[in-house]
Amino acid sequence: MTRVETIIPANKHAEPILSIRNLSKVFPLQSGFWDGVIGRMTGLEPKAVHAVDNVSLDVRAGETIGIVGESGCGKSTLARILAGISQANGGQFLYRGRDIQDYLKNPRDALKIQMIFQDPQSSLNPRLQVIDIVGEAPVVHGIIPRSQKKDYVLGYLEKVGLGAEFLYRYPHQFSGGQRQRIGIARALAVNPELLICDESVAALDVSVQAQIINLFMKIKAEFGLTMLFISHDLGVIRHLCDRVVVMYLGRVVEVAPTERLFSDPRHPYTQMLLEGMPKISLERRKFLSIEGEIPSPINPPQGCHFHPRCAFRTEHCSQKRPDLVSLEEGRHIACLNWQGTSPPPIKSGGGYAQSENA
Amino acid sequence: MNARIAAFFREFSESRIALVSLGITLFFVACTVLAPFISPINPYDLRSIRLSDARLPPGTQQVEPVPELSIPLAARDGKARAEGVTPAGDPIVLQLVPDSDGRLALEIDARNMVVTEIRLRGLPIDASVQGARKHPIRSEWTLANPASTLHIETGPQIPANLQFSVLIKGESEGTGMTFLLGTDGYGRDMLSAIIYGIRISMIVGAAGALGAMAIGTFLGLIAAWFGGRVDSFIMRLVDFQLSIPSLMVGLLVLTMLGKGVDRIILAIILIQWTYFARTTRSVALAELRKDYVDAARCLRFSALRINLLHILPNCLPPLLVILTISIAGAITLEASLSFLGVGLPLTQPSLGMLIANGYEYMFSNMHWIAIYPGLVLLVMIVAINVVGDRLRDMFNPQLKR
Repeated sequence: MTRVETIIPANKHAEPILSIRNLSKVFPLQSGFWDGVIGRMTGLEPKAVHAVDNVSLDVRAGETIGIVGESGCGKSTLARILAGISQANGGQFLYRGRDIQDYLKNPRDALKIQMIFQDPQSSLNPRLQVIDIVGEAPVVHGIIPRSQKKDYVLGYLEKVGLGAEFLYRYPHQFSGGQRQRIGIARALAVNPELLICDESVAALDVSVQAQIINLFMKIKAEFGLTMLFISHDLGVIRHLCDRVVVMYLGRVVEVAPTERLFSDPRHPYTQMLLEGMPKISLERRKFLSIEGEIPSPINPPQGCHFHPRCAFRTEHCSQKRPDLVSLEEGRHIACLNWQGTSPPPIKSGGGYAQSENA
Repeated sequence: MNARIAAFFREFSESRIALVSLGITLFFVACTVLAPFISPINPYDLRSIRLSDARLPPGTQQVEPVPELSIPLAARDGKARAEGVTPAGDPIVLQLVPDSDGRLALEIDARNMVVTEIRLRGLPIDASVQGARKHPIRSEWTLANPASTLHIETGPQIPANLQFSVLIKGESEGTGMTFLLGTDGYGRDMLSAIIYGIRISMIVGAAGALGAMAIGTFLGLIAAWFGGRVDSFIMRLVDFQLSIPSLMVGLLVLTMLGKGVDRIILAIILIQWTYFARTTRSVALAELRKDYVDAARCLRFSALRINLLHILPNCLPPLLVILTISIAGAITLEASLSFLGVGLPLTQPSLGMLIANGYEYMFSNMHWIAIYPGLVLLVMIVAINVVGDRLRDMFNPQLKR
């Protein structure tokens, strides 16, 4: 059975810069020789983690998309696939209409997708000076000649708020915020179009977080970037993003424009996330407290992954996997009981990319 | 960077014994580099070695061989004159004349040579030489510390034809060279042989360990980078190799290929690459999980560039520890193989071979031939190992206070 989850961009007229269809990433848990033999003899399906499970998404140029979810929900894996660092097992991944593997063959093209990492400590090579961290890629890929490296690096350091005195220092001589700025300068120095930020402010102090978020907004405007912002911090997402994708155990459960999501969350999981969010004045609306830990991704619950923790669950939640359905323009939800959680949707069924696998 | 090195050295110096060991190690390194300049003789130069100097105890002064020359004399009616040249190049004139008493007077005019002994050979059997001692059987008269004129009696009449030879021995001179540690069975100065032995042991050890590091690190990086079957294959190869005793591998290789410095280095590389491969793989696996490697992938660097310029430099600290200990191990291995007689050729003695040579003389009360190279080897290996241990302690954060 093929399941299709489609997220239609809010504005269908804009050309998507990035388009993924039914993207999956499976990490096999038994990969040894004897596991294979035993698997073949018993006919059991090998154990595996479905880190990313049939995710579809379109990102338009200039858009900022937030991806939220608890740890282990596959958002970092998705980020790594989108950045071209790891490869998906299944599905389609187009960048500017070209298959990503084809796109990655040319390193100059592939530089258009860059990533900002979570831990600024480990994302910088401790043995390199700032000038080499930022300037190595532009020189290696022939964007600038070696003789211009210093001026070029200096230009990008200034854009992220660092001065010339930092050029010849090593990462360990910087604070966390400064290191993250260097990481941003490194990504910007190769002229990217799409910036994937994987929990990029999570490891920073709150005051520094604000500075880095402002920096992201500034560079987004200055370089005309498209951004994918992955976070578990809903406040950050609300501040930065145009659209939010909520993920749970490798699947997308809800997609909505940021303001709609925060004002009217429809999926029970989204409601739970928002309830756990501090200092946000929500509308007077009753959310049910949801108990329990996130289940093991090795052996996820049948049907809807969320049903063991869901207050609205019914009998068939544990049997049928919910497809992503469209509630209203740009608004999607994967819940069998969406009628019970909120007013009925405008129309059901995505109808956007379902034909491929139907 | 300099500040980092200074801090590193300060931390290293916290252990006194490690500092002393570092000094000793550096001394041996200096010996390696400066061997031709500091060693009294070149023990590889076979022309400078005299078998007459063999097995001299420590502190013996070297002496030149006694200068001697033999001059034949052919006298007619008791008169003869002959000339010779001393080993130093001075002329010697011998003159034989009958004197008034019916004897023959042999005048020796050796101007610049102190004559310590004269032997006359071939005189008639009934002759006699004044003050001389006759050989019990042969016609040979020996005269120690002779005067410048000898008197020879040849009976009542002087023979018309008289032929004999005169052997003149001079004074032996010291060469000014003292064998501080004695000499070995071939007459080599032990001190020089030890200094050159240190040199060859260090070169073999360092070259072997560095070669092993190059190959092991390369294979370790490959194993970590590709993972899966490549990783399994390389690591099982390492396991297989480690299950064979290293001395056996060395014996096998050297028996097949023969002796020689290059071959023993090859044997050491074959034995030691496994340690480097294992360590590199484990450290590289840890580094590969760090975000800076993902960042480098995202910047679309080639796998070669990421491995050599990003991962490898971060793997180096533990590898340097292994390298230090491996050098000591390689020296031990080379010494063992040389001791067993499959290592280096006899003309290029390493410490192990010197010990093996001296072993033959152990019970002849000539302990110095084996003990001094043994002590040097011991001190060298202990010092290098202590330095390596200190480095390992410093890189182990669990031991940090």
